Amino acid sequence: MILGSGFCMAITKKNRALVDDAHHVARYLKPKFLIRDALDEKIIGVYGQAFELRSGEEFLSVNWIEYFELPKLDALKNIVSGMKASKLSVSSKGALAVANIANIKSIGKDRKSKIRVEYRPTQGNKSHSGIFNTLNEDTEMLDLLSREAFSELVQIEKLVMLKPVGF
Amino acid sequence: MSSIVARNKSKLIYNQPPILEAVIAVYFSHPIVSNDLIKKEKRLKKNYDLSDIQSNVTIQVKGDSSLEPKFTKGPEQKGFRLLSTDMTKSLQIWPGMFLISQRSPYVGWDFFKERFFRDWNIFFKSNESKEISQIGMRYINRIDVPVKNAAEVIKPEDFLTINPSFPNSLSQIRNFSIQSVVELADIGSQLKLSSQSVPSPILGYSSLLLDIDIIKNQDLPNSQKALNAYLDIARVKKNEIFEMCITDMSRNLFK
Amino acid sequence: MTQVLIKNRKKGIESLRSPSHVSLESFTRQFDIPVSSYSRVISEITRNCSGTPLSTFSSDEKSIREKLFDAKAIAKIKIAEVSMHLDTKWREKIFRQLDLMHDDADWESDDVPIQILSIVTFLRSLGVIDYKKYPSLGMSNSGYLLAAWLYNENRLTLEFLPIDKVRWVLSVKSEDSYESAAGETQLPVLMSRLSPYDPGQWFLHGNN
Repeated sequence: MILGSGFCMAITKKNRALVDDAHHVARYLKPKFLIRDALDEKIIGVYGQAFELRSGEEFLSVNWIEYFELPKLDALKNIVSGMKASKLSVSSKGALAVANIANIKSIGKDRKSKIRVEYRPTQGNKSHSGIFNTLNEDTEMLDLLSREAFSELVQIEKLVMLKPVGF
Repeated sequence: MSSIVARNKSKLIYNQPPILEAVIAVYFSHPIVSNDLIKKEKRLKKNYDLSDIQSNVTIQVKGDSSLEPKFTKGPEQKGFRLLSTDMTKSLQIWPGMFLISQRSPYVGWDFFKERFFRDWNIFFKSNESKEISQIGMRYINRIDVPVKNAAEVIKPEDFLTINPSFPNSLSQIRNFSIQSVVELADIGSQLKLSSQSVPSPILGYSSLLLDIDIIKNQDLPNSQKALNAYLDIARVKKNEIFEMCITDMSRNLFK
Repeated sequence: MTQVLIKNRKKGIESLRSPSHVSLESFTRQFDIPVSSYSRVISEITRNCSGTPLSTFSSDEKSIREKLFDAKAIAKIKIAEVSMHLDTKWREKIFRQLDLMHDDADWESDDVPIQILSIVTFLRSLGVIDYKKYPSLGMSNSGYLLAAWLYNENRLTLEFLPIDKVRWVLSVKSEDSYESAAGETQLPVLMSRLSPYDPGQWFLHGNN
């Protein structure tokens, strides 16, 4: 199975299986979590609070990018489509933040927490996954996630909403 | 302060006027019927970003020592509130009242009066007559005084000329509130003047409120020209009163 | 020209109410108009009401939009109270960002809009922080206002909690690594907590 990056690897897509450290996840961020430039246009960062668990949440919702076995941009488009298919609202002013799983886990290790990423598909949102063992009370961990792990940001309005490939 | 000095002072324009809210209200003797009010709201809506219905319910409570208190709901009055998106400009229309308000930042008298007459002329068609029972103009000012630390207590007399007066043994004043009613014979109106200490919305400040409320309920204007003239006169009087009630230390805060 | 009839002064109509303690209320209170006229939108306009319909939304959409409208309205009115301390550009930026963070396109029913007590703490911080550089504003899941400054690769984020509490986190680059710190502090001592990290780099020179 050849991915856009040129690597060739077998991808296990089993419910609750751990996602490979070499892979990436994307998290949808609402406009309220985005740091913008002086003109409130360009996104230049993410608040750590974007990675807080809400009341009753067991894990942070993300989407597994390599699930689609497509070039990244196409995978991101499919992620947005999948969210919409599961009746999750997506704002054009929001963004997807992309992180490498190894980086996420490394931050957890520095902050003394065993972070893991599990594949957790749902009806309509097949690439859905979860990040476990983040700590709401650890402000620095959340800040590190926002600055060092999820540093690649793609604005939703810039994702051309063409018909997703292979979805 | 002499009237000459007051007149000179009234021409001052401040960079940061301490006006919290400015209001002009006109009261009618006979209520406007509901359907007419709805039509007027439709015409006025285009001048504002938002509009909603307001309700005013009066509840009368009667009780004596032997019986359970009785609650009687009075007639419900409905009015409309029209707002700008930033919530600073509003118009309220009720069966018995037309009220225009400008919250901080104050836009200046010319713009404020212009909006009043713009909406007034939509509210009343040229052939429409309405009996006015009262006109009011109210300016609420908040003077924010920087303090060096939380323990510092400002002396109201350093900033206002309307102040409480206490015996020496009662000097630890935490809060005060003064209200007076004064006849303004020269403009056929009454003044309700209030000064009080209020919590400051900004840390490191103490705040004083100066509330100037000019009310006319006799010899009311009988034309738009006369109404316009009265509002200008009331505004000049309001400015004179404001200047009389503040000190130079206050002026330095909002120059 | 509008014709205005002079009304002969009727006996029994009270021109002014008897003196009473003055609190900061809208002028309308004097005329028996609800004092809350600036703070609430009537959330349920009955279908039988012959008044002007506010919208043609379904009741679910209407309640989310009204919820957002209410929250923003209260926040904007609160901010207006200190607008003599804000320049026009900054006030407009704050309002623009308030609108952005209450985007109803992805608003979920359990999302929390901006909390007024957080706005109160933010406004009180005007007396503590010299906001020469305007922050980018956001909002946490709890509805608390967030502010962020970036200066080169150094970042400061503040979260304004109720009752003068501020949660802060910062990261500064030193040589080839980052140093980070976080805390929860009372507003009056915030600047002293931040002082080891040269907070002027953000408040005075931040490139946001």
